[in-house]
Amino acid sequence: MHPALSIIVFTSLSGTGLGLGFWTALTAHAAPPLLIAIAGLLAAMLTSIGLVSSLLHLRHPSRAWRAFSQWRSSWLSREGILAPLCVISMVLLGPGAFTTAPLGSIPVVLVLLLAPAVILTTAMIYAQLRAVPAWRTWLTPVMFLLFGASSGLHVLMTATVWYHGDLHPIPLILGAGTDTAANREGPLLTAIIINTMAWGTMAAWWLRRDRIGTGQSTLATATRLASGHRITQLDPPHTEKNYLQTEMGYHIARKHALSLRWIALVLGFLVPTLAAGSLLILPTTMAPPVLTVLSVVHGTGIMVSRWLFFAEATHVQSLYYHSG
Amino acid sequence: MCLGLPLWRPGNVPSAGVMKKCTLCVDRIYNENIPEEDRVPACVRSCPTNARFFGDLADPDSEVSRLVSDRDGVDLMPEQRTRPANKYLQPGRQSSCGDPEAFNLAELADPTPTGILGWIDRNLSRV
Repeated sequence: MHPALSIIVFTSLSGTGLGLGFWTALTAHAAPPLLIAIAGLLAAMLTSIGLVSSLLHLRHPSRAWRAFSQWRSSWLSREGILAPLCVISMVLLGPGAFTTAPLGSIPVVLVLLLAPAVILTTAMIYAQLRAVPAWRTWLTPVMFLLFGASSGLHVLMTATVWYHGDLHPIPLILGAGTDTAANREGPLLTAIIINTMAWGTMAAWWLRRDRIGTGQSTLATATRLASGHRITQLDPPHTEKNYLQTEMGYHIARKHALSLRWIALVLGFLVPTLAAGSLLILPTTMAPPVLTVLSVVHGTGIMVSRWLFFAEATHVQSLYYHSG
Repeated sequence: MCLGLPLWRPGNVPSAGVMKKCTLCVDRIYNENIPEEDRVPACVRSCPTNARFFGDLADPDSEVSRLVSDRDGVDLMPEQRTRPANKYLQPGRQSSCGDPEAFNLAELADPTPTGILGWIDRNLSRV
C-alpha cells in the first residue's frame, strides 16, 4: 500500500491522544483537577489533529460527511462517529474533575469506554480486509491498542512531571502505595511493560507478514488456470502503470524494510526502555527532560513502524502484476 | 456478465479526484433508441473474438447462466469470497463447437473436388 503521510500522522497522533485520554481518565480519581484538565485538552487536541489530517488525503473533503451514514457496514464510518464523541468527552474531563462525584465521573466513564473503542475501529478498518492478508489478523487491533496505550502513557507522564515534578499524581497498579519512590516506579514500570508488549506484538506481526505473503490467494486462484501446473506470467497486463500499481503495489517502500524495522525498534523500544529504566534511579529533577525526549523518540519510532505497516502490506491484486 | 478477459478494475480519475468503475455501459443496455442487439456493453458488442457475454446471472434460465453451467464458469480468487458478478468460462471445453471429430482441419487443406473437377481428379488418380 502507498504509505500516505496523512494517514500515518493520523493513526499515530490520534492513537497517542486516545491513549493519553484513557490514562488520564484511569488516574482521574487521584490526579489534581488542573492536570486532568490539561491532559484532557492535550488528548483532545492530538486526536483532533489526527482526524483533521485524515481529511487531508481526501480529494473531496466536502464529501466526508457521507461516510457517517454507513456505520452498519463500515468501520471507517463507526470511527467517524465515535471519534468526535470521544474528543468531546476528553475535553469534558477537565470540567468533570472540578465537579463533584456522580456528574463529574460521567466523562471519565465515557473516555474509558470510547478511547479504546475508537482505536479499535481504526485498527479494524485494516484488520477486516481479506484482500490484504498481512493486515487481516487479531495482531493488528492489539498492536494499535498497545501502541496507543504506551505512547499515551508516555505523554501523560511527561505532562505530570512538568506540572508536578514527580509521577505520584498518577498512581498506577504497581505503585498504589503512598511512598513517593514507589509511586514513581508504578507508572514507569507500567510504561515499560506495555511498551514491551506493544513491540512484541509488532515483531510477531512482522514475522507473520513475512510468512503469509498473499495468503490463500495465488496466481492459480487469481487466473483459475491449470490446477496442478506451474503458471508463469510472461508479460504484465499492460505497459502503463495504473492506479492499482501505484496505490497498492508499493515496491520502493519495501526496499529498506529490514533496516527500517531496526530503526523503529531502537527508537520505539530500546531508547524508551533505557530512558524509563534510568529514571528509576536518576534524581527527580532529571525526569522532565528525559521523559520529554522519551515521548518524542518513542512517537517517532511508532511513526516509522506505522509507515512500514502500510508500505509492507501487499494487496492480493498485485498477483496480476508480477510478471516473471 | 461472463467473459474471457479481466474486466473489473477500479480506476482513479486523477483530474476528477474520484474512483470510478465499470458501469457495464448502463447508458447502452437500457437505451430503447438503439437496435436491440446493441443493448449490451460496448466491450461485449465490439469484441472481435466474441469472448464476452452479457446477461443476468441471477436468472438461472438466462443464456449466460446456461453458458456458466455448461462450460464450468468460475470466479477469480474465490477464497476472497467477494461473490463477483463476473464469471470466467474455462478454455478448451467449448460444448458449442460440438463433436471435434466432425470438424477436420486437415480435410480443409486437402479438399475433395466434386463435379467435373472431381471426375478428372478420380481418373487421374487411377493413372
